[in-house]
Amino acid sequence: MNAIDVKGLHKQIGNFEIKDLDIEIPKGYITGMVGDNGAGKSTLINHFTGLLKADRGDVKILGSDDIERDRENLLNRIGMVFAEDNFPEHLSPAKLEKLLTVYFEAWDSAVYHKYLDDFKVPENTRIKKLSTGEKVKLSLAVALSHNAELLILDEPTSNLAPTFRMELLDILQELMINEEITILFSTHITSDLERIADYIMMIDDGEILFNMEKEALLDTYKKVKGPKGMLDDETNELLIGKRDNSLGFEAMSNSWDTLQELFGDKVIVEKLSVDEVMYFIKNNRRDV
Amino acid sequence: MKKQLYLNLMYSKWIWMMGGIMIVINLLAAFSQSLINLQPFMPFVNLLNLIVMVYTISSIQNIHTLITKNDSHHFLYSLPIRKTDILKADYIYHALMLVFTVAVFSTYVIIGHDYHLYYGLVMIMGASLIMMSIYLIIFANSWLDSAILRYIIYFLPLFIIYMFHFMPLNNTVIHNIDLGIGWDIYRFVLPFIVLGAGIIVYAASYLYGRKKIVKSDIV
Repeated sequence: MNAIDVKGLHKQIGNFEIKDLDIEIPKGYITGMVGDNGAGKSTLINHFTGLLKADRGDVKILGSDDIERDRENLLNRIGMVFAEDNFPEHLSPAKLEKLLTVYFEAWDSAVYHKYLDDFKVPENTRIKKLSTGEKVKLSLAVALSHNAELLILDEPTSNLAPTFRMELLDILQELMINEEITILFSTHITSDLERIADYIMMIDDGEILFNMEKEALLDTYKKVKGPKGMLDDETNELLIGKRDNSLGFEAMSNSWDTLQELFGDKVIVEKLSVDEVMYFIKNNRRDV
Repeated sequence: MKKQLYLNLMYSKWIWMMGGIMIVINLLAAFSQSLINLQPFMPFVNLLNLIVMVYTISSIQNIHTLITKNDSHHFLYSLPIRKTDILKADYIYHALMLVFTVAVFSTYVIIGHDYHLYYGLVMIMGASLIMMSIYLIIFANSWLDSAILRYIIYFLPLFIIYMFHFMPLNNTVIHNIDLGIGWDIYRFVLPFIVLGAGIIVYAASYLYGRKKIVKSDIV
């Protein structure tokens, strides 16, 4: 079962376009969404929270295929951390809670205060005076305090100190013990995804380039390196995003075993990182 | 809908407080006018009342301007509430603010003013309903884009009415100037026509806006 099911989503905003996307975010898993700035991550997320309305296509979230009709119910079940700090700055975290208790049916004050305490966010200081990291922590505390079934985190770790980033990843992993929760985690710090994501989705220029289980992705695709002049047209076809350098070539391939059979020790096959997957796929798009 | 009303009240607390203080000042002035000469203070009291009523009559625009600070509307409008409830609450809230404006105005009138001033108020209320209908239809289509510009556009006709209806009405009645039947219709009948039209346009714009708002992008 999927927490989010998107079919043929199309949206035009100025010159930017999201092009007939099909996406499935499986329930009970962490899906990491990667992509450069301006790739369309936040635009896509804004469709899930009802801030944007698709020009065409279907978006089904937590079983509802009518976000407008079920908006109130859905947003009660979604915890959201925005890429930017958009809190009313004149409020303190304590006063913000008064507002949130009015909005969220399942608001858990004890959990909110526990997170504020754990994250060392001062409760009675105006949000305006909090540091960027503290604002992200506050945003996380809000998202985690109303028993959300779907957490949508838009670049939550970008402004966090490394130690707290690790702490956050632990919290998210702990939440996953309850398999009812689904997390969609957008970031460009791909090492975070390598640690916690079950699925990885890459978006570029409004298009989904891949959406795969992380282990399957990293098992299927490998980095292949070899000397110059070894490849012919046929073997070149087996490579994705090939780049030549002074020593030879470097590329990604899902036929790395075939290349190994053909060239033996002449080719070096290595495990890829998510960063490298993105790099080779983008190279490939440029070449096409 | 209650959620949005709560949000509106939270953001406009200071306007309600300002209006409340103005009511107290007006009442104190009204009850003490037989004991002390208030004339030296009246220009100041008049100005204060005008400022307070400018805020009470445009409280929605004020809230919208405040919540666009730090792009807080991205956060506030992604809280669990239906878009149609946001719109409904804003319509109800403005109607409440008009009632509150009448309350402030009524305490102002009793400080030795003539009741003819109510014709001017009726005219402004009617124009406010018409302009707010236009404002909220634009809101339903494009939410808070150019909020400050729309604030100004809302106020322009109200300012013109204040200058060319309210002020002449006051001056001609005080000085008992008779300018003929046409002028009387303009002063005493037109306000009720504008108010009636305002009520109809306000209701119709809500019905139109609630269809539009579910199809529009918030950000």
